[in-house]
Amino acid sequence: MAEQFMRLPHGGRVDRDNPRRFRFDGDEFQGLAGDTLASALLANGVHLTGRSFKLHRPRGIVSAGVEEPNALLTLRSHSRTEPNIPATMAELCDGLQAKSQNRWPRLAFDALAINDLASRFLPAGFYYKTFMGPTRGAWMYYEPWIRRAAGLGKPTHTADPDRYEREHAFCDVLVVGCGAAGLAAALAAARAGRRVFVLEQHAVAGGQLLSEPADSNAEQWRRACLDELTAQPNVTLLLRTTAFGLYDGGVVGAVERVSDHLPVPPADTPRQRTWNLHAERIVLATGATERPLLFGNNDRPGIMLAEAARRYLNHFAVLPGRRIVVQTNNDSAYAAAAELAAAGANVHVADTRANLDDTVIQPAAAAGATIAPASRIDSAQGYLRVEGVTLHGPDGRHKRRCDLVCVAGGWSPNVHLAAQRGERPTYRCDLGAFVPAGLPDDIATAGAVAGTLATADAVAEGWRVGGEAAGTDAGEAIAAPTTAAAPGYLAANNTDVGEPRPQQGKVFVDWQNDVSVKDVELAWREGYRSVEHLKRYTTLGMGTDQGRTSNINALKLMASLRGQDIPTTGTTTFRPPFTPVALGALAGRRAGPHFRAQRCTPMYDLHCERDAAFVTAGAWLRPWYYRTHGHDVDTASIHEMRAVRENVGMVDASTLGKIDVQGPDAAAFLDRVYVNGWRKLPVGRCRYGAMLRDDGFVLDDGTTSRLGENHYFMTTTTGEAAVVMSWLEYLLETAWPELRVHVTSVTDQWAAIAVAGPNSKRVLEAALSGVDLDDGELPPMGVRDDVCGDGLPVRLLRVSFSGERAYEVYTPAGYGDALWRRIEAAGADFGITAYGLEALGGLRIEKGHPIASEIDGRTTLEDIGLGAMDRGHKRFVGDVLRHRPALAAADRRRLVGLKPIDPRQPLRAGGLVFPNSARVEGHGIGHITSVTWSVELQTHVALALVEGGREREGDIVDAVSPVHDERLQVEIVSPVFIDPEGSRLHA
Amino acid sequence: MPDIRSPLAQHYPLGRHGAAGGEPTVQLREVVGWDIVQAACWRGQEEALEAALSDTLGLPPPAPGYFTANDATEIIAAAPQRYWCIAPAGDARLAQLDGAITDATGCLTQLGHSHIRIRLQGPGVRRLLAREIAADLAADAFPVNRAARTMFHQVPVMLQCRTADPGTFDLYLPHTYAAGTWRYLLDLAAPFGYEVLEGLGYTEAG
Repeated sequence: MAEQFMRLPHGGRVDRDNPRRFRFDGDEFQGLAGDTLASALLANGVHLTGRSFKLHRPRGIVSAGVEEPNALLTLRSHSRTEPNIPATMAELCDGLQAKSQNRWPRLAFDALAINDLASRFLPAGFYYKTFMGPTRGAWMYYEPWIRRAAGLGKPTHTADPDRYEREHAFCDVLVVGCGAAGLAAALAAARAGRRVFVLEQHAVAGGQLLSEPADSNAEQWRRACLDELTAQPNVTLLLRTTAFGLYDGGVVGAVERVSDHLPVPPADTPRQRTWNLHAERIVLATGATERPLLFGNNDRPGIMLAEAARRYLNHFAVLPGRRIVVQTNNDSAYAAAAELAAAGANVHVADTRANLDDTVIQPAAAAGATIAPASRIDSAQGYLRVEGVTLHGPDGRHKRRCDLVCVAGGWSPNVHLAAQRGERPTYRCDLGAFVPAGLPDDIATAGAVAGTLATADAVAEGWRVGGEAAGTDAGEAIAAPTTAAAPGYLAANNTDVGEPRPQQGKVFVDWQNDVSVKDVELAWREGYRSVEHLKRYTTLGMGTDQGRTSNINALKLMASLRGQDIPTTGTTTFRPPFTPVALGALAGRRAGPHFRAQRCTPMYDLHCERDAAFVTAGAWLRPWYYRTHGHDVDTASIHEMRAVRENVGMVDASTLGKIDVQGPDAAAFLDRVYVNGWRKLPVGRCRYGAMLRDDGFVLDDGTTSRLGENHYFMTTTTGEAAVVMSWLEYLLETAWPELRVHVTSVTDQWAAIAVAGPNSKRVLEAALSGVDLDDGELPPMGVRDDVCGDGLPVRLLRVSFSGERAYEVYTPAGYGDALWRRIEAAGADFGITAYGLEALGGLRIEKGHPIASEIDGRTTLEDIGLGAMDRGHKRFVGDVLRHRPALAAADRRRLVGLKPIDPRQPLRAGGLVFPNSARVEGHGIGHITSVTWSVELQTHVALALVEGGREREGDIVDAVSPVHDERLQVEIVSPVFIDPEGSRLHA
Repeated sequence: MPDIRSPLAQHYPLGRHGAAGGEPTVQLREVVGWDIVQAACWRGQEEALEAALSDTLGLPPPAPGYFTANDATEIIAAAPQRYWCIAPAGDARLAQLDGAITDATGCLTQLGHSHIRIRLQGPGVRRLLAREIAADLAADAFPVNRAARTMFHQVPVMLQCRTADPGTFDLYLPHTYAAGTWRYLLDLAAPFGYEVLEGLGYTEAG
């Protein structure tokens, strides 16, 4: 086990009493509780953590936060494997396994590093240029090889064993970010008594204050603020929680990494939780990110942001290098330089500015750092770790040995969340940075994100904004801590991004995507002038870090190439998520059996007892067939269909949509929504009806019964029940508010069983004691509410979907189970057979009844053979637009039946219809909508929509399934295959 | 009259579960033996409906978003111009609504079998419900006698707050969604530790 030889003997906020063992690429190391994986690796002197995306260049740890572009590792193993996790955000836990990515055979020797040598042939967009030929489909051949050679980590293919959750929370004030400004804002709101939520993405709250020494005044201030906040019952502080999206209505999406810092989540504890936070007011105190600088080989391991080096030093007690060069173009790097020097490192500061403020540089100089004004790094040396730099200053060029380069290119406010609301940030020339703009009244910013980098100013601003969010004047601000860091925004005229054209080495702008200065210039030469085009052509700013360290430098380069200023060049669009979010966290517990709400009829348990095979139909679980009737769906459904045709069957019809329609104007209402008329329907009778959308296409069909003078009971198809219900409510609320009608969904109130077949009446007479089923009492299309002798209430409809004598029997849902058992028991003497959805569908196809396969939103009344329902006596929804010329065209596809010439040849739903022997090209003259084996006719049959419709009866055409390479001859026939006279209804 | 069968009948794991053996912070049970009649009125007939409800049920109709209750009867403002009138199954007062609300005023719809009623109680109940319900359920934002039509796992539900501390809520699940939603609710409750209790008769539920 390696020692933590770069760990300082004192300082930091790590727990020295709690060592943590971990493995990186198989080697065992030790860190401390409170470490991140990055700090633990650095404590052990490991800078090399991965290979770059395209060129396989060695890369190291750049940052100490979410902006990390390089140190992406695959954590854990087996089903808990998770790739692309920034080592800077992964908290160290005992036994943690980490692997580097995108290298073979090992990190220190990667065979595909040859890409770097061939990089002149691999510029931005090379694959779109080089791999397009020689044939049109050649890319399909190259793509897998290119993807294999490039990329990030690989996910596991096994199921994630961990638990994820979602939760809603509401608050008066939400503070995003827990640095100096965020703490002040939260305190101001909390003291005003408001419900406050505070989000901090790290395990420890404090933001940039954590870069201050652990024995500093800033630390005391931080702890005091947190002590007060956590003691308040009205404050919820969520650590390890990243706000990833800011949405309308004061909603913020955030992910809490509940147990990512543990080896394995405890039982019943989620790994991550997604919060939907609903806030009256939001304070964004999201801070700022330091920018790197450009020079040759600026991507070598051991080159990191100056603020990150300071964080590792003061928070983790890790000295990331012993011989350090600090390259800066602003004041903020001098705190790092001073503290690193004070910790014993040899520090040399190369400042691009010629004139330096003595008060800023003095602490560093006093600590022993050497400072060179007007000096910049031309290029870095070393391969697996930086070994030196070539400095270019007033005295010319000279080399300097080092094992760490700290870069400080100024600060970019983290405007991402604020900009997600659609307003692009504004460039403030006085800061050399973009800041949020155009925020709505319920969102405010404080601290570095707003351009206020100095700690005292940030605290004052946070206090003021927090008070305003709480609706009070918070008064005089709390005292601010003293910090060593100087403000790091750039002066207005400082557009220096470093040395884009060094004497040696590639200059990278975007480390994660291997985008160099030359790639940006190439994009510009090839005409990609917009930053949005630049992003898409080069992939700059994409990936897990979303270009947090690269975007501004790239903008400056593009602005320079275009001869424009930065505001004119603009920024790309900011979209959620701010950081990658695991799909599991978004799903929460809505996975597996709970993926979506499941709907079961009141007889569901009973069907399970009877070994039903189920099929999903929307949210419903419906019996498909019963395994007791056959070993597969075909065998069982044929058995079930035959039972209905020859004897009697029963099917669970509870999924039908059911709508209670009541009111003095109910008949007039139905007249308007249905094609056919309802005013003359007598009480105790039902009628088949069809309704259109207002564009003239068929919306749905079903039966509606008149239970009383002003009371109707409507049934809809299973699939359209919710649509029809919403449509009726919409019409009553908006189109005809004057109608005295109420519609109420009663789908859940009623269980329904259809009993069909020649013996259906006998079975029901035996089952429903005391209920008169005589044809005089309940004729075809009759309806009656009744009560059995033992008090079981039933509603009977004499309607048929199969063409046989049939009844729909309804009872309140809680009695559905009892009703089924009763009919089943009474039917046992007749050999009653339960049937499922497959048989139900086959029976209706034989009878030519259209369902959703035919009423598919594109068919008219005439298309499905229901044109005669419109007698022209009244107006109804859709009656105007249904007469558009195109909807009456002679070549519209209309409902027909198909029978194969060879009766044993099965037809395929979705197959195309072509003229006999015609070339199979295009969409043909029709398509098959429904297929079944007809037990009655002993042949396969189908319903189809074919141009010309029934005028083609007798024609021989071809049914084609290109997918299956099948073609067979079929005859166009009537869609009503059996009993066209309807005599069986009275059998 | 046959017994009413609950869709939860075969999915009702009595006893303590979840939270790795810790003390349960949520108790769940089905409330049975009640009936709902929806009373609705036409536009302009609101006062007539409210008077009829008040006279028949002996309860003032609630303001929107609330319910009123006495020992055996409740009225929930279910939607504009609609109230759910709840009473013990077979209670004569629900039947009397038929005569009290005429065609000129509005209409009645039987909904007693359309929902399953779950009672949730305990210190963890608000956070449990917040796992799915996008409504502010804090004691001062959703006080006792508050009711809301909302969504739970894509399912339309009615929620009532009955006591503040510890929180007691009644959740009405549509009959056909009840079994799946109940199982999902138990799954959500695991981190809190939960106890499934025997079903509770409506009049005992209070």
